[in-house]
Amino acid sequence: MKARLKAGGMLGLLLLGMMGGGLGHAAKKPERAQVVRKANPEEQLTEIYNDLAKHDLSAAQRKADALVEAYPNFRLAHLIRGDILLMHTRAVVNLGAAVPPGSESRLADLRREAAVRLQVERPAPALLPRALLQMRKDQRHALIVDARHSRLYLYENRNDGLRLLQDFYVSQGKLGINKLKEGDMRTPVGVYYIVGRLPGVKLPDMYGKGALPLDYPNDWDKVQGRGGSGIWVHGTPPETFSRPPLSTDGCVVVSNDDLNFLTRTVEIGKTPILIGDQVEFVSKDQRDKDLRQAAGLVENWRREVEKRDDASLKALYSPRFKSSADEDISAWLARNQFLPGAKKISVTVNDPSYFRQPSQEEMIVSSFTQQTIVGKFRHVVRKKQYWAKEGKTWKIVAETNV
Amino acid sequence: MKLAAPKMLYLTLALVIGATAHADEFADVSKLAKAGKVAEALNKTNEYLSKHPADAQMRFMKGVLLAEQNKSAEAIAVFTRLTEDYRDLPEPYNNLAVLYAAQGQYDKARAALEKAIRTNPSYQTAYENLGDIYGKMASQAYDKALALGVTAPPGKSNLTMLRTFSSSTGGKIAVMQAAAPAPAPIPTPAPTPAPKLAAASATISAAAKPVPVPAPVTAPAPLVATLPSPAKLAVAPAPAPAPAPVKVAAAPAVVPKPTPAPPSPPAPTPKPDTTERDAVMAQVHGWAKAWAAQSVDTYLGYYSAQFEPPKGLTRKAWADERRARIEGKGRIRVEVASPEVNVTGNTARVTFRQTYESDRLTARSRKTLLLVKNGGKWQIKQEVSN
Repeated sequence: MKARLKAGGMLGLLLLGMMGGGLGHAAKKPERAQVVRKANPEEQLTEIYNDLAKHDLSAAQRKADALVEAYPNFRLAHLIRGDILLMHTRAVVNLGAAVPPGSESRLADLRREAAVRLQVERPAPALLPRALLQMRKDQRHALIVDARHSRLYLYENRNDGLRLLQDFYVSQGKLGINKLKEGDMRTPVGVYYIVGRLPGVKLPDMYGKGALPLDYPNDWDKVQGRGGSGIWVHGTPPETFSRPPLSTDGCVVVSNDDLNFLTRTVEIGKTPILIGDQVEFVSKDQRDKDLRQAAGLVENWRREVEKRDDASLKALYSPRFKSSADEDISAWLARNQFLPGAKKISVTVNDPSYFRQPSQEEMIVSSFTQQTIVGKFRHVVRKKQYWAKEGKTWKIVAETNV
Repeated sequence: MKLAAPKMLYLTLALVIGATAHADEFADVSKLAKAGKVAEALNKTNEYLSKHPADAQMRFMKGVLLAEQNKSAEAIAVFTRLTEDYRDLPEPYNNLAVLYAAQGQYDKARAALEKAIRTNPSYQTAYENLGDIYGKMASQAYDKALALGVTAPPGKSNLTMLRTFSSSTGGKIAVMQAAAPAPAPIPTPAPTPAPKLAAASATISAAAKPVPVPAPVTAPAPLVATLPSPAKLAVAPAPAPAPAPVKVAAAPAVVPKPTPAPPSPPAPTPKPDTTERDAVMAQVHGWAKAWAAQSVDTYLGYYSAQFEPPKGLTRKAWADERRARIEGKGRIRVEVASPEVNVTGNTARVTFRQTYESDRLTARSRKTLLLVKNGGKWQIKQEVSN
């Protein structure tokens, strides 16, 4: 279906072929109880398109003028304004209708940006992100990057549950996702954490207002031998408000306004950022089921540790398992056994979090505090486990003590 | 498409209103300007204005002359004051727009043209200029969008600067000035066949009226609107604003009955003669076709040597303007609908609804072509949009 827009007597119709049926669902957002926010630039774009759909050329023109006035480096806004100006005198049949020849690739980039921005599909209010199975109480926020839709979702973890605070347009690696090595211009897929805040003043211009480094490569990446480093969420250089969807060397790039907001919101070392191309929003039932399964895996593991039965404990680990010190499973377990001689031990798992990697590859990352009590001795360690689905069973492919 | 014939009426008005002293001065200035003696013309203009500071025509001329000397800032100041004093006149707005556009200030240009159109919805030049402005603004927007960084210099603008007031507004000025100083003895003008004068001088004599109020006046504008006086009657037959192109043709407002008085008095009893009639229509269709095909030479060939270019332009200036307007377009469509033909001896009058469509503009208007038969061939002698 094409969105056929007609605005005003003279201008004929605007056919944004690339938009698909985008306009219909672009506008609706989930009800959010509070805070009256000024419409952000992307929402203003959406309003402009709605005006055009209503044949209100002068309102669209007014808003487009205001938008480029407020965001003089918002190139997509300029493009759309160019079209709107033309609409006063002629028919405009596609985005960037009269762009001069010789800039096809830039135009293609802007059209892609328009498509992802205007086709945003936000989850219904009742749905939950499948990736966030359970967060720790002190993790107040989580980020999910939907690489397929160039979108970053910011969730707030409240006592009464998860709430989508806001979502943002993002740019990712030129060659997409699944980073494997240095310089492959890809964005990694996995469960990461924001591990720092770098103010823009200390960085080259290209990072804009600042950067939030990720802990890529994580333990599982290392086991897999994935290389590269310096994957950050960062802003845009002064000359542009936003970058094309596929344009970075692997970083996740947001507008400077958005970066400032994220910088204020995230907590260093605590806020997870999950990246993948299979971001799903599911019912609470589905998520509870996923959570029971994830928690069941760890519970099973806890029991095996408590039993001190090496063979059955080892069976929970993948043959691919390697520790960060390159030990095999036997060496790793031996090193992690508290008071090996003791027969009667008690193991508890506290403050767990469970995340599901939003990717084709099924992976659950659990973190928890393991407490082992042997008589009057007590040992506490914070653990992170990467569970991967191998065939029909879940196995631990990586494990670290944090 | 340019307003041609209404000038006559304008002249009529001017004559009716009275004094013509000013006309001579204006004609002198105009002549000097045409001869390229701009500085001299400007001196004369200033001289005149020092005595008659409120004379709108002369002030307008001053703006044009300043613009020709590339004194944009001063020209802008002149036109701006004119827009303040005469809010109903589209021409000063149009020329402001041309000047702004030349400086690359397209936003201001657009605003000025929109005002010009608001004052006179049938204002073709403003529409064409506005179409150009939108195109330029769009391309500027695209440059920004694509970060081409070639903040293209304003470049040669093909916007049309008006050299004189068109008839309708000339009428307004006359009325304003006539209305201000108490009951001017205005006889309801029987549309007297205008004395045949050179087109140029016709336009010039427009505001030929001793200036009533010396200072910039803001009052006259609303006055005109509500004026139920004979003056108003005088204006009434003025080229009725055709329906605004955008708003699509409703019935054309008023078809001026006593429009362009042809030089030879029209014979009252037109004899329908289908052969001549067909010959005339063949020419009209050929003319429209050449226009649409953008074959400018052929198009210009449809105009007789006696053709009276609008706005007091010389034949050459007019032809150049037509060429610039026509050749630059991506495509043009011209449609001639429901023509009414009147043949009287060697003259013919064709009135029809014209739809003009280019890649930038769609305009519908009512048009009258006056054709004369020269050596067995019908040619356009006068072209009137109304």
